[in-house]
Amino acid sequence: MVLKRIASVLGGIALVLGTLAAGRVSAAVMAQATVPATVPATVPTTVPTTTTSTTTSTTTQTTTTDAAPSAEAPTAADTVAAVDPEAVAAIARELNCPLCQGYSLLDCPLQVCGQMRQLIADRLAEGWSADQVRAQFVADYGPQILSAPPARGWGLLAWLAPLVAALSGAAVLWLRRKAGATAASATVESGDGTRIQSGDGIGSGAAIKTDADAASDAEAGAEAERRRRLEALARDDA
Amino acid sequence: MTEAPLIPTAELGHLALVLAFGLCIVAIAASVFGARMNDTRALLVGRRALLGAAVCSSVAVFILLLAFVYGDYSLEFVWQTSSSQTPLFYRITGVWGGQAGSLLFWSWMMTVYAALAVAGPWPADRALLPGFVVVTGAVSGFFLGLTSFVANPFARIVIDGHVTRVAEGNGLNPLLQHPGMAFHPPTLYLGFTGLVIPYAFGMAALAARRTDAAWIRASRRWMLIAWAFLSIGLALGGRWAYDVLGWGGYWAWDPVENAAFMPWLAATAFLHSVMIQERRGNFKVWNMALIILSFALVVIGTFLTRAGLVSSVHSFAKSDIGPYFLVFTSLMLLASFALLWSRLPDLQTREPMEQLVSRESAFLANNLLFMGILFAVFWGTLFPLFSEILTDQRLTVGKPYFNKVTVPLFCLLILLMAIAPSVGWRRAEGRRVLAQLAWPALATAGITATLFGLGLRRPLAVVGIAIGVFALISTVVEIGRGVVARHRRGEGWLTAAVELFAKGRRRYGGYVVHVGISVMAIGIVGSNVYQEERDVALKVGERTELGGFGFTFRGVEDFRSADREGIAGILDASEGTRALGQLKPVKAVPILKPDQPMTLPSVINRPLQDLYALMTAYDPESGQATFKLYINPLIGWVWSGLLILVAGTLIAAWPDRSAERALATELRRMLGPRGAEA
Repeated sequence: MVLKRIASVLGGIALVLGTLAAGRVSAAVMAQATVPATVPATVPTTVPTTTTSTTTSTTTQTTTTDAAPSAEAPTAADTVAAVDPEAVAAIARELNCPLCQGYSLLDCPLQVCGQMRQLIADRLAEGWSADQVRAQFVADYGPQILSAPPARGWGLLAWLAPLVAALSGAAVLWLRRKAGATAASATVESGDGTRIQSGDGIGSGAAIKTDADAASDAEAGAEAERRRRLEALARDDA
Repeated sequence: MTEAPLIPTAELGHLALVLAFGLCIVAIAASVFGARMNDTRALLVGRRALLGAAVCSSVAVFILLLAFVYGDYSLEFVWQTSSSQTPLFYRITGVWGGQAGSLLFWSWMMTVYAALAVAGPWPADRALLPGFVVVTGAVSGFFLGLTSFVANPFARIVIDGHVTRVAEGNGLNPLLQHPGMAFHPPTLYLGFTGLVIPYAFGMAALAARRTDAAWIRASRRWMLIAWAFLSIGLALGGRWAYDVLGWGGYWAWDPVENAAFMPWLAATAFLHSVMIQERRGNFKVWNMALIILSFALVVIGTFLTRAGLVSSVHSFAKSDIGPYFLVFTSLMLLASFALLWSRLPDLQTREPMEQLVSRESAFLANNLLFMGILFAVFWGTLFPLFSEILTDQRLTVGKPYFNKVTVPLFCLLILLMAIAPSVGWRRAEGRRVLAQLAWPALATAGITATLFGLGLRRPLAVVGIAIGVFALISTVVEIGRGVVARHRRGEGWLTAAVELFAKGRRRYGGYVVHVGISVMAIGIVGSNVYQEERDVALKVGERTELGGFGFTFRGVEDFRSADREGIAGILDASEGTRALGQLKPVKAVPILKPDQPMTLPSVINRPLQDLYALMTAYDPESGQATFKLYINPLIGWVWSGLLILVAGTLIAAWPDRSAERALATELRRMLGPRGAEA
């Protein structure tokens, strides 16, 4: 009964997941096709044009934006805003270095990546939102610039699968325990009656562990172990 | 390039390899025959053939080592990964600096492990011997076959049909010239290859239908040794990344790291779940499945990273050993699980599962969490591959993904680690468990509140540190409780402590490992949540501050080592008015490979935090240098935790001579003098 219910819930989850993924995949693929992906090789040429005076002012600490307000900035950037380095780091941490494998943009020691971090700071100072900055990076370098897939469309599958796996694992264990408990109480009922009913819950006082018990238990285990080894040795030497 | 008289040793090395491969085949054939025909002599031949394979592969490794030391650049592999400029130490480590050599190294370790296991007194039922020889022979044979016929490290350089000796080697990748990289691959390999022993014991037990816990006991020490090497290897890799790669961290959830981490996760789950089987006799099928999984993940991981499958699908076709691995892995998995399937009736468990609050349930929860983490890592590592094949979308699954998915599971796991040792077998009373944990919980609350008062405010850090501290305290209290119990029986404090560990090596060694893990967990939380980093451009004399520390740029100096040259920036680090020493991050170019510039970080290690600096750019005209500065809190705890973990594993694996002597005495009494002699 319980088994069936859980199975149906799991099936439902899988179904929802499947439709979600299938429905969004095509949309995502279509959307991606329209994005002109810039190959990483063009990075050194594109970056200096978007940042101003990058070679000398690569400090996120003193970001009193000397960048000229760019035309594509969504809001007017006349006001000089101090950018929280943590806000820059939060964005850079979740982007990949477009040039080297395995580095995040935040941690990459390449000079060009320092310039890109500066670019993020400049954009934030101009009033861009974090999402807009990220979207610009995705538009420039393709979705693989994001160091984790977005939790929608096909990418959602990446996030949900471990959750579903863990839940189903837990469900299987729970069901086995249930099955084991009923089987056990059945054997007890038909058995010699020396065992206590195993379904009678915690705190029945039948088999409560104490420290002394644990110690004697350990000794009993060691004793059994010794016997087994003796027997194995005896078998070997015979 | 000169034609020089060639040393024929390389051909001898190759011959030794082929011989070792042949001996593996002989070992398999003889053991199968011996087991079928019940022929003891054939079994002995199999055992000796396995020993012979170990000797032959040792000879091959020795010859390759000599070629590296003497610089025989007529060998392609030696030429590729070393040069006469390379310091001797790194010429030796060049043996595993490339694919062919590391495969040889790998097969050598595996044959030596197998030989050691059959050379000593056989620790288990004799019926397990033939199966063990067949499995270790087959796995080592595969790797020896690969090095003999596909990726031969002894291949000569042939130019225009002539074997040619090149005057100078290409040189080892400069990034690999670091003590961490020298020791990281061998320790990791020792861990990987060591897993073959418990795997082989498990398969032998299935084949011989000896499915009690005897195979687990026989392979327990091997398992612990492999596990310890695996742990050390992973941590050394992290240390190398931290010291050399210069991104201020030690674990990037990179596919190669994940490939090495997955067997560790499976093996750790196995180490825990076997305790239920030894104690209660259940979970026989699960333990078999886990040991198959652990070793299969070793091979799959090697396959994924060696074939370049995970970074891009396209490199798959380029690699020449990928298909062999694919076939071998599939066959191995198929054969192992088919054997397990055929023996399912033998593995039926009679013991019913116990109550919700019991040690058994705790071990189950442990396994569930480990498998959850393992699946998440596996899924995340392979998802880009699926994605590219199925939808042609190139996605990255990186650090943020793995952190978000696995950190909650790790938190639960460490919480479980704090609680489980207080929970008794079969059935524990909830109230009693709570009573045992009350003091550790109170102490943890006090410490966390104090830290909160001192400014520990980020939710993730508060939760993470609290769980780590709780695990640390409750484990130490659990050990302390054992000491107190012995003391009450009249032993002095010191004797009580020593005897506790001597008598309960396995249990208390395990607790020490738990202490190490708790310390590491606290370090991991601190270094991830409170890491501070900053890009800063400084002219000589300028000063900047980060995380309460001051950094003053003093200028640059020339940097020169045996094989690279460049400049080092000098930063005076200070805390308030107190000088903490100098940081000298390096920007250098290897002399032999000027196209591979490197930025080497410089670190000041302190108990509560590391100061970490990189010089990313330097402009000699303006005298301005750009630095990347990091403050990495508690990172030292990660390395200290590792040392505690290794100590604990050693305690747990240390042979108990007095117990063995007592056993022998008892045996003599039981069998009489004649029996003992026989």
